[in-house]
Amino acid sequence: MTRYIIRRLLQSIIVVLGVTLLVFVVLFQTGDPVVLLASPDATKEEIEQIRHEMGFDRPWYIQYADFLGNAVRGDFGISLRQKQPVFKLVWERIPATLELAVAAFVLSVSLAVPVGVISATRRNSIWDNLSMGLALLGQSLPVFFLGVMLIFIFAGKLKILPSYGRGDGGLLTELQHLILPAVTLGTFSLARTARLVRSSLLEVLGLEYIKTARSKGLAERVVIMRHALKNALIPVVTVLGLEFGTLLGGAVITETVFAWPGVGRLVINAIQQRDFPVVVGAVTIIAVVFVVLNLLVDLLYGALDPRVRYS
Amino acid sequence: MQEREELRQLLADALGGKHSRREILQRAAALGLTAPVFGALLAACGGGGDETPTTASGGSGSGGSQSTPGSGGAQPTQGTGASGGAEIPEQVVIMQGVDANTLDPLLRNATPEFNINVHVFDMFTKRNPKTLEVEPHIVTEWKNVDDLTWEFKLVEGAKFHNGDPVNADAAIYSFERAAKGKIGEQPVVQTITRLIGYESAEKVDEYTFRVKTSKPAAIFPDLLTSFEIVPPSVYTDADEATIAKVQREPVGSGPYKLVEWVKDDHIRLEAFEDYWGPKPKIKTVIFRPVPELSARVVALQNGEANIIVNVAPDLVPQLEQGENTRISQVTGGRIIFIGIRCDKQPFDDKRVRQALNYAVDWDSINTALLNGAGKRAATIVNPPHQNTKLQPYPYDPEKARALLKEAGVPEGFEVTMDAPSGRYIKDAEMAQAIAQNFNDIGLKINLRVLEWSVYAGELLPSKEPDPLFFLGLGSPFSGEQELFYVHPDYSLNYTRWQNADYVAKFAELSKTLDPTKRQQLMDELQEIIYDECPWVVLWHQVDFYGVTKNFPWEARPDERIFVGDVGI
Repeated sequence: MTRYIIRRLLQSIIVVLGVTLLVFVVLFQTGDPVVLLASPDATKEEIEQIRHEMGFDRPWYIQYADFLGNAVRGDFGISLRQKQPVFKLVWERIPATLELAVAAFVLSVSLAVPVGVISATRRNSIWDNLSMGLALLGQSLPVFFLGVMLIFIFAGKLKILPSYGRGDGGLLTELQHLILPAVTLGTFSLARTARLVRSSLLEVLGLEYIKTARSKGLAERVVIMRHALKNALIPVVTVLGLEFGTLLGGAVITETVFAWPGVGRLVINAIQQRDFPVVVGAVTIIAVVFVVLNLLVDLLYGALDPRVRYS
Repeated sequence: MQEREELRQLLADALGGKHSRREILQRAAALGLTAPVFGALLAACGGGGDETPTTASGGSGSGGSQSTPGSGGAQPTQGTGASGGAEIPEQVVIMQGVDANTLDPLLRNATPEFNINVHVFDMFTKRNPKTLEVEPHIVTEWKNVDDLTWEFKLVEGAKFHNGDPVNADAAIYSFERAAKGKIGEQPVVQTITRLIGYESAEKVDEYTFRVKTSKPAAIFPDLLTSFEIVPPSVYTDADEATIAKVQREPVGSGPYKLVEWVKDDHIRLEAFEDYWGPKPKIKTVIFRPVPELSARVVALQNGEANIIVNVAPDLVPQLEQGENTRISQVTGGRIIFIGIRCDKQPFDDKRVRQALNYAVDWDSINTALLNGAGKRAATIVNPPHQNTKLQPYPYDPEKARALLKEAGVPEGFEVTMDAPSGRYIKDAEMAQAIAQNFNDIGLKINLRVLEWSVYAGELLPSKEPDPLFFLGLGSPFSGEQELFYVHPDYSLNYTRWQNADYVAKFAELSKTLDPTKRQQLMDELQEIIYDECPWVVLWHQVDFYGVTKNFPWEARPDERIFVGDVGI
């Protein structure tokens, strides 16, 4: 087990390094932010001067090494635009993003499992066709489109939910503000998970031990809930771990549509303004969170299922 | 009505508005959503509004929004535009597209930041929104002691939010801080000290100070309309922590204090009790960054916002017809043009450049893309310094063809034209239409449309755009600044247009302080540009704001949003 943990840890570090390297290379392909920082009437010499003072004239790998050296000490630099430490900027937005991701996650899981089970047990019924049809739709709808449509219907026409922001007037208003973004963000995950639960349960239902259970004369309910579902959910749990990470990342679009003050919006704004330290820092921090989550899932999985450790 | 429907359909088919593109394209692209899909989507949101007019009155219908601004004035005053019977709400919500990055007066560089600072700080002078002339503000009078020395008098008894007095020391410190060139490691964005050739400032008495410049600087009072006075005890820049603190916690002498800033959610300003000027009637001003235009529109319709910015031309009719919404629009100072590389053949011949100006079918573009709101511009200069004798180049493809022929340009001559996408109202679409206009007079245009961040981040810094390039430049109103846009020394002038007469006259202008003489020189300079055509001058961009019907605020040409004087 120890060797397994060490191996997974090393892999995680490589992943984070890979992500930072990739972001760095891609960003530097697009030029540097100095021109946008300098005043509009700055001369070429003044721009060069600023570039030199800010260190953007060094080769990218030197800047990268510099970044890594500081990052391991928790120093991700200062935002070029907001003049605040990057870590602080990301940190103060994490609660909002986490809140949104958790809400979307809870929503999607709590609906996906019942829907998947009903579909699987009533295969090819109207229920099954309808819910799987909807799931397909949910998976194909762009988050962006869904978000604008929800705003249009629930805020624009029905006027029952707010269209923007996180709300700041107590629990009730905050919950109201949470509904539309959480639905928008959770729909894709809900659809995918429901389909996964269905197919996984169908697979299990065809196995010999289910037949045995049925031939023992157990009630169908017991067969499904106690015997089939337990095994069917193993792959679902794995996917859910990743799913949560995806929700954190997918929040970028949802946060922008709903003016949600989270990490995703920070990153989008930073990209548009070429605020390189924020882009690199925020992506790195998100990558670390993602990797840690994955690692936990893997370790849990390894503990549950010994076969995983040796593969 | 029929026509309007057709127009709407046309607009719907065209790509999304200025805003949709600027703010959303990256996201849309990430999803594989193409711009037309997005445009159709916006139209879907906009179109519905006609059939079922919104029924709720201001502020009442929206469940769950914690703040319903304007709920005090929830009875819509029918049919009154801005004035007459309007109620002034206690609290006003302004929705801009993005949050401020920093409120440090020397580091801010975008309009949304400026709009907050203009409430929190006092600019030294202010601009009359109607005449666009410079007027006294916290400096009540000024005079030239000599060509290089200016004497200013401050208002007496004004205070900063922390209780410090507004006096000559504070004014001098504000200049000195700007002249440092850097705050910590960050280069100062505020350009005033550079533009006037700042040398030094000295105190005459408690409320009087003098500024010395290295050259006569007639535009000084004009530049002071965007320069904040700050308390020396707060903006010490002593260490990193102090510098970081003032980015987020500004202390000024303006009519409002900043009391809360939840990043990317809202900024809350409260009226400052000890303000020296007229006390604002609106007690609370909230700025909310809402990037998605449709979310802003819905919020306005639900009475959750009083002012929203950057309404796309497609959505204008919907808000105009809304029960509790209206549009406030104004021709702004931002000039949109196609720059011509005068160092590239055949554009070194002014007849070719004139031909391009004759070739633009502006009326069609205006109808199809701008909802009829845009007028073709005749000159690059904004009011009040426009040469009013100049008329815009008319659409005359025959004359354009003749001029090209005269200049010996072969039929089907290939030219590359660059255009940004998502920066200006309908930029890419406008460029497409104009490329077609140019093709119609016998050129062959290869249009290269680039995303704005690439355009501004790569193409422009290279200083070597293609022979034709689409661009917009900001909104000064001093005349001299606009005229500098085509001067060889201006760093963003890529036209390489050389004209000794122009340069000589411009030099004279920048040395002249007498207003009448200045206007005469400016008129002459505009005539040279009109004849020489280093640009295809298109239009001064129109800004559209959505406003609640009973809220008496009107758009200003200088893109500023200030509500401290509403109802006063």
